[in-house]
Amino acid sequence: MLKKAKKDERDQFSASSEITEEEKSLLVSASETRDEKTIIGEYITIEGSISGEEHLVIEGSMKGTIDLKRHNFAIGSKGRFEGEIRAQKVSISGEMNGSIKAQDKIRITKEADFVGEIRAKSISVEDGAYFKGSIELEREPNRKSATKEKAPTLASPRPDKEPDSLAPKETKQGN
Amino acid sequence: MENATIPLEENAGALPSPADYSSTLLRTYIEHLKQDQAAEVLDMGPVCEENIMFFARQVKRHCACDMFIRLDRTRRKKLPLKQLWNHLDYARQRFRGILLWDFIDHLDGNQVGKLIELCDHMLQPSAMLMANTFEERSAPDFVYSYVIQDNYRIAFRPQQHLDLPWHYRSNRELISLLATFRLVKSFIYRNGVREFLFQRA
Repeated sequence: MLKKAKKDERDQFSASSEITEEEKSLLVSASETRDEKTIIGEYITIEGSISGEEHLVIEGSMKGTIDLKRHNFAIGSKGRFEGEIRAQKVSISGEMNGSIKAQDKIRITKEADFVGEIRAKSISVEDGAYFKGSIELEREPNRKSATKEKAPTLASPRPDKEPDSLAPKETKQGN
Repeated sequence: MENATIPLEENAGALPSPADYSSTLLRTYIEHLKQDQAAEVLDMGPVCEENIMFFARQVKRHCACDMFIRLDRTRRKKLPLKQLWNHLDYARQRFRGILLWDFIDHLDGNQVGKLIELCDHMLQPSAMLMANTFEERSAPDFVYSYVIQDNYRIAFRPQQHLDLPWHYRSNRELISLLATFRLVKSFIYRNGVREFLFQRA
């Protein structure tokens, strides 16, 4: 079943015949700051699309698209989802096959079974997750240099004196 | 060839892992990838957050398909091993690089042959394949993920959820198994890790 984690205070705003721009911005900030979310229960199956302005958790199964833009989306450990997700932050603990585009972070827990494509600012994947995916990071242009690794060029002297080349040993020792 | 099953133990985290080391071949491998702005890389796991972030910052698109957990699940469910290879259903010549880590250590000769055949299919001409393996004297107690840290330093993290066989192979046996590819470089480290970098023709 559909559950509200907290009372939806936006109904009060919706009742008003005219909503000013200021009220609209209050509406958004109110729903962002409240820990408000809708939960689709374990025994619910949905096929279609969902868009909205509050957090959403799926414990049941769904096939389709989710578009939450500035809110978070989660698939619980018993949840199953097939399709496309667009949200602020995404957390996967159940089964998912599809694509995710997150404005912020994607979290894949060790309970997850994920197959698909990911695009986000960052991703965390717990050891033990059943994972098959392609990952593209949203790069911030002004931080381009900061993300570069400190890899020296091939021509620079290598600091590693530790390893021995195996190739000569291979022929000499014949192991 | 020596076979052993790597045990699952709850206190794996408290046991000493192989010592960290600075990977010379990973550095070379990354430099090769950076030559192509559109490069895509396939990492065969075990899935590791640090490595995903590392490669996603280096290449256009990073792909990870944890074959370790898939092998483990195939064995636990007693499924035919040929089903394992269905997971590597990537397009022909898609990748500029493939990282096997020590996955080969957990496969028998026939399975390695099938894996190499698929790698040959998935790699572009002149693309690189990196494989690691442990020396016999350093036979691992657990399955480990190779965790990439700063400056190409590699640390080891036990993967207690994985219970896989381990096969030791000599350098000659390994190179022979991967004879489809040209051996570019290989190194052995003090901790018993051997690294091999191969290139597709």
